[in-house]
Amino acid sequence: METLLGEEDLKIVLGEVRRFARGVVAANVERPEQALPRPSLDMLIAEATGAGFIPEAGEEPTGLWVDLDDPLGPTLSARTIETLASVNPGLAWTCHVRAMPVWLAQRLNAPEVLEGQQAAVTLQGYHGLGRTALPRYLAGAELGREDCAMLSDWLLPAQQDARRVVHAPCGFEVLLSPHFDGEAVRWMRQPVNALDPLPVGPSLGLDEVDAVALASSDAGTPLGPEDPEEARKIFAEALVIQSLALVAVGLGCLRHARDLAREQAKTRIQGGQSIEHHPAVQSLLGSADTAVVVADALLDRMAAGPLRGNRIGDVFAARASAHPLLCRGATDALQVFGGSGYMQDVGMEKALRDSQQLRLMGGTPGELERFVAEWERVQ
Amino acid sequence: MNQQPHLDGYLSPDHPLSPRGLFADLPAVVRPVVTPRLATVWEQDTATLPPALALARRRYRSFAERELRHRALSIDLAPHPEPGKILPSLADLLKTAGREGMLTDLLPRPLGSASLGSYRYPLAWTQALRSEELGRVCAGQMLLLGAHSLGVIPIVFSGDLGAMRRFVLPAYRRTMAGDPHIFAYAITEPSAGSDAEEGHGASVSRPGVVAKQVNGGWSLRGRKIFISGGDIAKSITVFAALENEGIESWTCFLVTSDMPGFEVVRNELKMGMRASAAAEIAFHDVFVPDDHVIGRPRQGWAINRATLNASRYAVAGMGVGLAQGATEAAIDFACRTELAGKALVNFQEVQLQIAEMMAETSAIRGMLWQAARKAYVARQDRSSMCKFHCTDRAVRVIEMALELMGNHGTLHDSGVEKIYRDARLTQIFEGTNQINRLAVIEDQQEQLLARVERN
Repeated sequence: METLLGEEDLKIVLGEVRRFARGVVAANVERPEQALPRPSLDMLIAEATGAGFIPEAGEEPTGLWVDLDDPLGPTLSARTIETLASVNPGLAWTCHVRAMPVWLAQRLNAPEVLEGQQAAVTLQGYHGLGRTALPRYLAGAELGREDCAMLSDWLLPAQQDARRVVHAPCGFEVLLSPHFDGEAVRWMRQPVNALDPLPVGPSLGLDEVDAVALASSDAGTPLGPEDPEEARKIFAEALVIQSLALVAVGLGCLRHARDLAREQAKTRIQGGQSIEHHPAVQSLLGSADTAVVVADALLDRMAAGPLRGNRIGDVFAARASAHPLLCRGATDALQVFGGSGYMQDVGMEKALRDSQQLRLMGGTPGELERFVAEWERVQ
Repeated sequence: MNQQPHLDGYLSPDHPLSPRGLFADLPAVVRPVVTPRLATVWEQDTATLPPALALARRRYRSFAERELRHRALSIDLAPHPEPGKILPSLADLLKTAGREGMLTDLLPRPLGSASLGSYRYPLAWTQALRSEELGRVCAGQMLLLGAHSLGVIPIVFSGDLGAMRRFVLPAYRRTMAGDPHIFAYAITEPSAGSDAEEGHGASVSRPGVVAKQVNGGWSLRGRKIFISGGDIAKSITVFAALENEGIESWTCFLVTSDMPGFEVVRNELKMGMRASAAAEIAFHDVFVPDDHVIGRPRQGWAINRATLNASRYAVAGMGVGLAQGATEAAIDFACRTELAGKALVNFQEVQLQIAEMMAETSAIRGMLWQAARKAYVARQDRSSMCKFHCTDRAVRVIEMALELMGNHGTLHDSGVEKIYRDARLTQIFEGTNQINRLAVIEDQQEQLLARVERN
C-alpha cells in the first residue's frame, strides 16, 4: 500500500487546524453561555471547507475522512476533529457531519448522489445498537430469523410513531440512511421531506447541532452496494468513523474543560490558599488529567492504521471505555469551580452537557460492551 | 404452561413454578409471612412511615403531580425574567403553594401549616419527604419552594421568639392567605463559596459583606451571589461580618427587599433548576435596624452551621426524588418503546438496568430515612453523609436512565436530560460534596483523635 502521509505532514496539517481553531473559531465562541449562532456556524463551516478541512462533493476531496487507506489517515481526521472540539465541540461535530456524506458517496462510488443538495448520514437505528444481531451481521455470522427481524426493525422501525433521531445542523435536504433488506445493510438516498422531519427542541448537549426526529419510511433511491460483503464492510467502516469522531470530539471538549479547571484552581483562593493545593481539588484535577491521558491513548489505538471495518470490536471496546472516563473528567473539572461551574457563562456546564451527549449518541457504553461480547463470541 | 401475560424469560403468576401460586398452598399460619401484598415500591415504603408522615407524603405527591408536573418542561425552557420579576405561571404556583400550606410547614398549626401529628417527628424527616416528592416531579420548582424554607430556618434556629413573632408569623399568615411572602438565605460571596460552609476555610477567609454599627442599627455593604430565590424574596436572612472582624463575627440580619440600598443585580443563567433563580444581590450601605438582627451579634456562624446541618437532609431528599423521577421515566420508556415487535422491558439487559436503578434509589432513600427519623438533633456528620452520598448516587442513577434511553434520552421531551441538569446542582450547593465529606470528618474529630492517641 502506498503511504502518502508522514508524521511531518501530520504535524503541519494539525498545526494549520490549530491556528484555524484558535485564530478563527475561538473569536466566535467567546460567550460560552450562548450556543455558536447559526450564521457564525455557517461562516466557520464555509471557512473550514475553504481551508481544506472539510471535503466538498464533486471534486477531488481533501480533508476529513478522505485518506483513510493511509495508515495515518484516520489519525489525521480524528485529531483534526479533536483540535476543533477543543474550541467548540458543536462545530467539530458539524464538520464531521458535513464530511460523512462525501466519504460515503466516494465509498459507494456514487459521488453524484450529493449533487446540489445538502446531505446527512445517519447510522443510529431506532434504539441501541441492534443488540446481538448487529455484531453477528458485521462478523459475517449466520443470521437467524430474530437477527433479521431485529436489524430490519432497528433501521426501519415498524412501531407506530417510532422516529429515529438525527443530530445534525438543520437544513440538510437528503438523508443517506442504511436499511437491512434481509441480506445486507444497503443504503438509501431519502429526501428529508419524505420523512416528516420533526424538530424536537434542544438536546442535552451540542447546542449548535439540531435534533430532528424522522419518521420511518422506505421511500427513496437505493444506492447499494450490490455485493453483500462490500455492504457489510462499508457499514462497519462507517460505524468506526463515527466512533472516532465521537471520541475525538469528547477528548477535545475535555482538554478544554481540564485547562479551564486548572486555571481556576490556580487563581481561586479558598481556605487561605489557591485551591490547587487542596487534596480534594487535586483529586478532581487528577481525575480530569487521567481521563485526558487515557482517552488520548484510546483514540490513538482506535485510529491506528488504515481504516478497516473488521477492527470494529476493538474500536467499540475503546469507545465504551473512553466515554465514561470523559464524562467523569468533565464533571470533576466542573466541580473544581463549585457554584460558578453550574453557571453558563463559565462554560464548564456546556462541556459537561456535550460530554454526556456524546456518550449517548451512536450507542451507549453498555450497548457497545454488549456488541463487543457478541463480536468476540462469533469471531 | 404460562397462561397469564408475562415478560420474556419469566414465568407467569399462574405457572406451576411461580412462587405466587405455590405460596397460596402453604399452611395458613405461614402464608401471611411469605406472601407479599401486591404493591408498588412507593406504597410499600409509604406504609413503613408513621401515619402522619405517610399522610404528608401522599399530600406532597398529590401536590407535585397536580401543580408541578404540567409546567416542569416549559418552565425549564422559559427565558429568565428580569431580576425582581417572576413568571406568571410561577407566581400562581407560589400562591397555590401558600394557600395549601406548602410554604409554611416549618411551624405547626396554628402558627404554620404543619399538622401537629407530623410535628411529633423530626422536622428534617418531613422536609426530606417533601423535597423527595416535589423533586421527583420538578427539582427547579421544588427549589423555588424549598429555598424559602431555608431562608426561614435561621430565624427558627436563633431561638429568638421576638424575631419569630415580628417576621415569620405575619409572613406566614399572608402566605397562607394567598399572598406569598418569600424568604431567602444569603451566605455565599464572590470570594467565599466553600469558606462560608466549612470552618477551616472560614477561619482564614476575609468576609465580603460587612456590617458597620450606626445609630439605631447597622449599615450593610457588599455582595452575595448564587442566592436561590434572592430575586423575588421579600425577606432575606443575610450573614455579614462585623466591621474589621472575620467570619467568627458573622451576624444574621433580616434584610427586606424594600430597604434603601438593597439591589438585585442579576440572575445567573444556570445549567438547570431554572424555575428558581440564583441571584446576585448587593447591599449599598443598607440600613438594618437593631431589631432585625436575628439572634445576637456574632451568633451568625453558629446559626449558619445549624441551618446547613438541618437543610442538607432536604437536599439529600431532592437527590432521592430526582433518582426516582429518572427511574420512572426510564421504566415508562422501556414499556412503551418497541424493538423487533417487543417492548424493551422484555430484554434482559434493560431489566438489569431498571433493577439497578430501583435498588440504588431504594438504598439512598433507606439511608436518608434512617438518618432523618432520628434527626431530633440535626447532626452534621449524618446530614452531610446523606447529602453527598444520596446526590452522588442519584446522579449515577440518572446517568443509567439516560443510558437506557440512549439518544432518545438526550431530547428535552424525554424529561431525563432536564433531571440530569437539575441533579448536577445538588452535588454543588449547600457545600460541595467534597466539603460535605470533610464535614463528616470534622464531626468525628474527637473519636478519630482518640484512636490516634491510642496508637
